[in-house]
Amino acid sequence: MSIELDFNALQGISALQRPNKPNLLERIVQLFECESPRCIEQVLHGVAVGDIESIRIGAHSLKSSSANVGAVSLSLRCRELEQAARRGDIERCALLSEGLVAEFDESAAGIRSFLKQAA
Amino acid sequence: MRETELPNSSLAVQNAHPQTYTILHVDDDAASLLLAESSLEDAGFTVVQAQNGQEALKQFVDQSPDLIIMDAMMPVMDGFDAIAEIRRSPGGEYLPILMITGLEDLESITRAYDEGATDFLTKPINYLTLPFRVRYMLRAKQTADALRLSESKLDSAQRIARLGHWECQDKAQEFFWSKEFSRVMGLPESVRTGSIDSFLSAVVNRDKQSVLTRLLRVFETCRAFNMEFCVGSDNEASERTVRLEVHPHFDVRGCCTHVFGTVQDITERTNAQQQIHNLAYYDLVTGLPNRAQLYERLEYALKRARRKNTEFALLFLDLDHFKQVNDTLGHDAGDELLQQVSSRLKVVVRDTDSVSRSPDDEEETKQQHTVARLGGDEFVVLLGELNRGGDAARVAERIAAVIGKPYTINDTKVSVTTTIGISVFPMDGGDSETLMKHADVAMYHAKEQGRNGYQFYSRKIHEAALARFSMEADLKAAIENNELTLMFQPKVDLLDHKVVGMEALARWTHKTNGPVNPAEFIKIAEETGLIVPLGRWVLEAACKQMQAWIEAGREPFSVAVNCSPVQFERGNIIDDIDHALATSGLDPRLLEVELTESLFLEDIEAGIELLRQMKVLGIHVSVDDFGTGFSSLSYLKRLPVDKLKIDQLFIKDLEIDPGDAAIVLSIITLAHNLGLSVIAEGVETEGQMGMLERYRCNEAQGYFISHPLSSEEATEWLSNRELQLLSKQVSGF
Repeated sequence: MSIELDFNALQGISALQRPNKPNLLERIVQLFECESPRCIEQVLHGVAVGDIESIRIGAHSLKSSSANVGAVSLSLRCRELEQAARRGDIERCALLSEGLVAEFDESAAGIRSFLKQAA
Repeated sequence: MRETELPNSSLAVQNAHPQTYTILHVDDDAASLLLAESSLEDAGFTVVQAQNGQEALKQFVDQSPDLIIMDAMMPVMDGFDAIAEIRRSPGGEYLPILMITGLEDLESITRAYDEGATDFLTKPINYLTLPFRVRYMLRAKQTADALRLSESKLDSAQRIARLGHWECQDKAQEFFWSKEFSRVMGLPESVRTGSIDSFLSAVVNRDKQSVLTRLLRVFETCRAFNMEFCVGSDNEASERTVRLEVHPHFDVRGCCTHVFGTVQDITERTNAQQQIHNLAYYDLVTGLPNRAQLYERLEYALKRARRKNTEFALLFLDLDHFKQVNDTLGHDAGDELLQQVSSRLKVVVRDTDSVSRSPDDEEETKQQHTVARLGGDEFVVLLGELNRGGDAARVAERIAAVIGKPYTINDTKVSVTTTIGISVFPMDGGDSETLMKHADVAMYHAKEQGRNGYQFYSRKIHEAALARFSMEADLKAAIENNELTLMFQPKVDLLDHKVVGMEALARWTHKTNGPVNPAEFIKIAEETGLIVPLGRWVLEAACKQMQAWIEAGREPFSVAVNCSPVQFERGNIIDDIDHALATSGLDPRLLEVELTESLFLEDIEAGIELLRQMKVLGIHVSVDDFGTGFSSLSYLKRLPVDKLKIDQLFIKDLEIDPGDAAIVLSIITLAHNLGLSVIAEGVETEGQMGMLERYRCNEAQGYFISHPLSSEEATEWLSNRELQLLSKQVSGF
């Protein structure tokens, strides 16, 4: 699986860093790491039991949070998921949810390594 | 408002700002909240947050944010519902709300605007530039606020000033107006556009046409104007006075593109002006014109009298012993007395006839009669346009009589008398001051001679007025007591010298003064209106005498009666003629009415109508004094008359003045061409008779034939005449 990361987004977050404040980028990435599994769980659960609304909400949240940290391909996948959910295309949702966990893991790992390099 | 006048107009985000704005950010994504907070706080904003719509509503109430950034999709309550709710809340109506939506989610964007979002941003958000967007929206809000404030101030100002505005784009086809315009004009507030008719529907009927005409004209002339008129129903209580301003608007090429303007309720101002005017020109106690107004009217009367060469009188009067009333009964009673005196004075003056002839003129003259109070117990009566002092004397006498009647004040009977001084323009003075002074002097003279009387400033006028006055009274009595007599002057046919008629002439012999010149008493009779009963008497007596002659076996001829124009104006001459004919039983064809040309000068149509009615009665009509007046030949042919009477002026020198001879011949020829017969009066010589015969004049009248005769003398004269003619005929054979 190939993922796409946009490190400009992370640099953009760094630009918002104010002096004498907690590290914003670190905080955002932590939020991404901590919050995303819950969203993924929502999507997978929805696919498993056929709860379209659950898929849509999970995908929508993850779409935004991943876009914030420059996880481009993850965000795109989430967008497609959300749209499919809206259409009620459960099969497409099932298809897209496959590899969702892997894509998140890789994206998160890529971001972490960028942070280490930057530090 | 220009941008430079706005505070915080700079776009520089990093600068310190005098005011700290609070931004409410609503998002269920913690990272987004964090990023936006970092960015916005760095730009100097205070940030408060909410995780969903429900929390947002609470924060909105608690924090009163200056702007809200609202995510669309959120749990519990989404952004759309939250916006709708905020817009309905107090303070939320104009709050800037920035909606965050998905990039391609057009449906959400549309819905966001429908619910009242001010603007939108799509995800992913560029947090670096977010403060700029926020700043821009806040500035737009300030501009809008300033505009709303300005509008509301303007609205309030217009409401307070009762000032509405309006415009019309297209040649008076459709008008648009403001709410205040509707209020001022009394139109329904919901109606704000309409035709020129609905635009002016509230204008009172009497003003409508002139407003309409002037308003339409502005589309032709393109010139600004204003006018004042009344709106509301046509009853004075609910009417409002408004002032309409009308201005054309020109484009850059100078063409008038539309017309606009204002309307303002000026009722109160107008009322105030009226009140000021009243205070300045009217006496507070009596409501009569005061000294200031009297002098204005006096100046007007002076101008008018000089122009028309007429006279007018000033009556200066005060109440005898008024001070005693004031001292014994108090000032309130004194004021009450003054008010009652004023009322009586007004009645006397209102009932005073004017000498004017036409109704229009009469109206004007009535307005010239003024009763004014100078102060204290002094009053002045201005009698406009008099022809004789007798009028003033008569009014003075009536005033004295009316004022002298008892008054009831607070259940107490009070009596006062008045003394009146009279000055007459132009004899007693040519300006206001002199006339007032002399009327005052005359009043003191009157007081010296005992109060409760009147006195003219000039003794001559005083005596003439008294003489005239008593003459009028005597003439009235003479008519009533049948003391007038009738004289008859024969008219003969110039062909056979037979008597063809008699002219009846009224004569008056005064009890003490002897015979009065007919011209003199006829003039008095005309001026006083006594000519109406006098004329009636002459008609009846003449018809009666004529009928008596016929019944005595006399060969019928006609009797002629002079009628004055005043009889047509003040009486009903047709009825009088009809009555005289009916009571005497005289054949209408034997009655001839002599009228002067002046009757036809003012209103020829009325004159023709009168002649037509006479024709219906069957009587003959002749035009008296022909040649002396206007003598318009053009109207002569339109008049249904039978005869012209050439004035004696032309006959007197007929034999020696070729000019007079030419005129007489011309009149005769003209009359004959028009089918009229001609009579010459004032024939005194045989030579004149001869010339008139040669000129084919039809009839003659004058001393050569006979002086006017009493009825007895006439009877005798007729008998002798018959004998003479008979002997002539006999000798002729």
